[in-house]
Amino acid sequence: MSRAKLRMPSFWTVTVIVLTALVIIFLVYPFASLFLKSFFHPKTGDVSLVNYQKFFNTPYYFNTLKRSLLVSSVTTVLAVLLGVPIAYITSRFNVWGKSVINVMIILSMLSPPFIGAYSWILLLGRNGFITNLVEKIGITMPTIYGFYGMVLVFTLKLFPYVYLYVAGALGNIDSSLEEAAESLGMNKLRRMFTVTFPVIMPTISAAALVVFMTSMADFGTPLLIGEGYKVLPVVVYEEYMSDIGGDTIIASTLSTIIVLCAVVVLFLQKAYVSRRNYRMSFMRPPQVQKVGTGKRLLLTAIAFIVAFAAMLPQFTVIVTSFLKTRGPLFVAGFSLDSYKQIGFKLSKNIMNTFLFSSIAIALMILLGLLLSYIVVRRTSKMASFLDAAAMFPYVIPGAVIGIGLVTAFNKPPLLLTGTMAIMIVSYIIRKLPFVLRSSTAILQQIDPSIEEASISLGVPPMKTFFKTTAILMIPGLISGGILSWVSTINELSSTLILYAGNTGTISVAIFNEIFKDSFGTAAALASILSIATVVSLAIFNKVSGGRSVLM
Amino acid sequence: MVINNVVKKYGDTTAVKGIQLSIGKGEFFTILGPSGCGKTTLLRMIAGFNTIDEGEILFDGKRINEVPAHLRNIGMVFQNYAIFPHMSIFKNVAYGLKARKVPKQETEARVNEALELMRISQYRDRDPSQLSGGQQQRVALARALVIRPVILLMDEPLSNLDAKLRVEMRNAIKKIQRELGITTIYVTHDQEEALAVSDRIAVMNHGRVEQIGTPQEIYMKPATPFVAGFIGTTNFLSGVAEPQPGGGSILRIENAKTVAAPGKWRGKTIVGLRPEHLHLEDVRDGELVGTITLATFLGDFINYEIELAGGKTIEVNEYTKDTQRIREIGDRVSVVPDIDRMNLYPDEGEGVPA
Repeated sequence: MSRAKLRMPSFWTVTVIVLTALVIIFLVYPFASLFLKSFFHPKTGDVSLVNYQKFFNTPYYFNTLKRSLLVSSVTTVLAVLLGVPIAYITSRFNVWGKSVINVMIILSMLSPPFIGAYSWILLLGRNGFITNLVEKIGITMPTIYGFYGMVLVFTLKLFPYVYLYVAGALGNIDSSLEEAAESLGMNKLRRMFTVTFPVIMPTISAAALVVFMTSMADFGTPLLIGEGYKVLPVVVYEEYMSDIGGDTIIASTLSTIIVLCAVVVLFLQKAYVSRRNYRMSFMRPPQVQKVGTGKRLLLTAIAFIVAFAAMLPQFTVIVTSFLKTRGPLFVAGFSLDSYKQIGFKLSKNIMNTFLFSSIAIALMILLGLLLSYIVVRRTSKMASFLDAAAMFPYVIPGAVIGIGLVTAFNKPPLLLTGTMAIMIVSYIIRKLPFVLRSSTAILQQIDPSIEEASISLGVPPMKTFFKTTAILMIPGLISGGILSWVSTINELSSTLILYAGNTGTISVAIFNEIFKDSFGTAAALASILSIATVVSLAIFNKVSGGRSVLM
Repeated sequence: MVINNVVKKYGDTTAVKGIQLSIGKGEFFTILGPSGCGKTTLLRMIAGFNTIDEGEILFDGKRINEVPAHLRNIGMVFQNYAIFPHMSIFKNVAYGLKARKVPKQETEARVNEALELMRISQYRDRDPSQLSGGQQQRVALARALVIRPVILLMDEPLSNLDAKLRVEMRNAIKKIQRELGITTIYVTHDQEEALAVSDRIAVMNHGRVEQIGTPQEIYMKPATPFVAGFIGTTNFLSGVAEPQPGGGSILRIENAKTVAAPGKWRGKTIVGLRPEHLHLEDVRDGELVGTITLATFLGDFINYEIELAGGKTIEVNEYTKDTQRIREIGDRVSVVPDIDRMNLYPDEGEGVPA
């Protein structure tokens, strides 16, 4: 026995210790202290629920919760009602231009949400193109600001999740199920509601969960378009950021409440799915139905109109970026002025965005590789702890992540506030759940005995891992990493809280330019992000060989 | 190789409960047992993938408990072959030599030799995905043998092949093992496979070894009712034995037939009889009597299912070379055992197996 104890600790033991230390420093410590703060009396320091009493008794705070839940619920329902039929149309009928529709919808999904809000303001806002246009013919548009605007922006931005999830599930249904229903005398419509949709309900609920969580956590959109209609993340941000009169304890109370809501919704969805685990045993892919030209045209038109509406913000932004401007005003004609201006003023932000995101993604791939291996292959209490801890940020909105990190690391020995490091940490924390999920999925498809074969042939465990499993995982990890990269370059919520003078990113610059009414430069910056997104997606397609963009 | 009182625990359950084995140089040794009996766990302890909680394993007198798996110099063939999918066949086989820093030329020569031995030289530069299951199996074997291991471990290597290929591969494995004289430990749940390839077999059940012996010993003289039932088919009948004053003992089977039993055999007894060690006769007094409920003609023999008077169902095989007569379902017959082939086990309260 003593000989065994004297041996050097194994590679994986060291890795587990290092990762556990990182998780404790960058996850447990900041967020446990943030959430715990809300359970103490602000003056006496005793354990108390006084902050929650204040929350529920102050309509200003309590209403934000009601609004957040209302906006997210309505958005979720609308996104499902929009995404499911479009997915059904494109996957079951011979509509024209399917791949174009697909690309349009994916692109709209991957653009930053606040660009959607901004574009819709450009179109339907107080001084919007369409608003001005219809005013000339005497029609006054309803206001885009507030509840309706948020729901509009969120729905168009998030229905693509439903579309992609459901299109995937519809393509995986065993067609003999539907044929069985048909042979038992069900007509098409009833068959759809008695077999097809019930079978894909778990998938629809998973997509609905993503929509609900994203719309509840986002705060770029409500900040731009919500105006007086304040939702939870906006108030968290305001309470935390305002120089005077801000209340960090109520900010942490609100943070805790929003995370609790997310956790409850997550568990509801999990409980729902756990009772409906349908496995397709025999696979006969469903047939695409050939319909006559009239019907075909109609279905194609519907799909394109929806895809076009989702893409509209992107078009608007790109067109706007080439318009001639004088200060906040647009004048007739096109020019590259906006681009010249950002090249002059904001090139630092552009460089920051790509630098921070690249470092974050490289580290995330490494962490994803090691963490997923520990979680999947080295099952232990420590492994389950690491898994749960790394997945937890999935339910924490970006703004709360930002606040947690700022509060935790604003004093020595770990003085990170205002540095590039803290932003990279926040990107890793936010996106690691996605990287971890995709890397565990990849790892589960790799046979563990591959490594044992290598070890029994004389290669020590650490070298074995890098020579076999790691090499087999890397293609999948990289294609997953590209998608995380796309959402990282577009990140706003935590960046807005964490950035300092010289660590601003493109998304921060867009946000500030919009508030300065410099719509031209904001649009030019947004166009750069859009183009980076398109290029990344093209690379992703090449690397992944047609894997789904959903992780 | 010696395995000394080895124990493996998973939480509260003990997968391997103190196993004692010794395996000779060049022996083809099989560990046979139903799934979950601990045979794979034991094999993985030898390979070094499972830790040893108690006891020790010795190679050539040296304790290897603490030697990490990659330093044990063991060749292992996995159930699903575990061919590296990102390497060519050549690179797969050369992998272990590379780890041992064997010079390039020698590697080349030894890999070619191994590929030739397994008759897969023509696939040298292919990708594993282009090979069939049987061919991948041969690559796995070449890869394990090329490092000249002290011992070859095989974990159900044939279970993923179809029936015909399985027989072909098992003969190939046996021939190569003889040729190289390499000590081999083979794990399987397939009793026919075990009988076909092994020099000796250890039958495992519930983490213990029930019997160790040559295939003939295991089949003809199973040490326990479990072994008798697991290997081939055995009918179990109940009996009661009484020693006689004049020496010897009388055994009464199923309250119907009395036979002589050895020495001082006494008390409740389980009688094991294989279907081919029974034959049918017209109804006679003092014999086991039953009714034929199913007769299956299988070419070289006829398999009868017979319900005895006491309600018990047994199987009897009659060979077509011995008898012309095929009896009908519903016929009443006497079932006559071949007394010499009977195996007796004391019934220690666990009852007669079905």
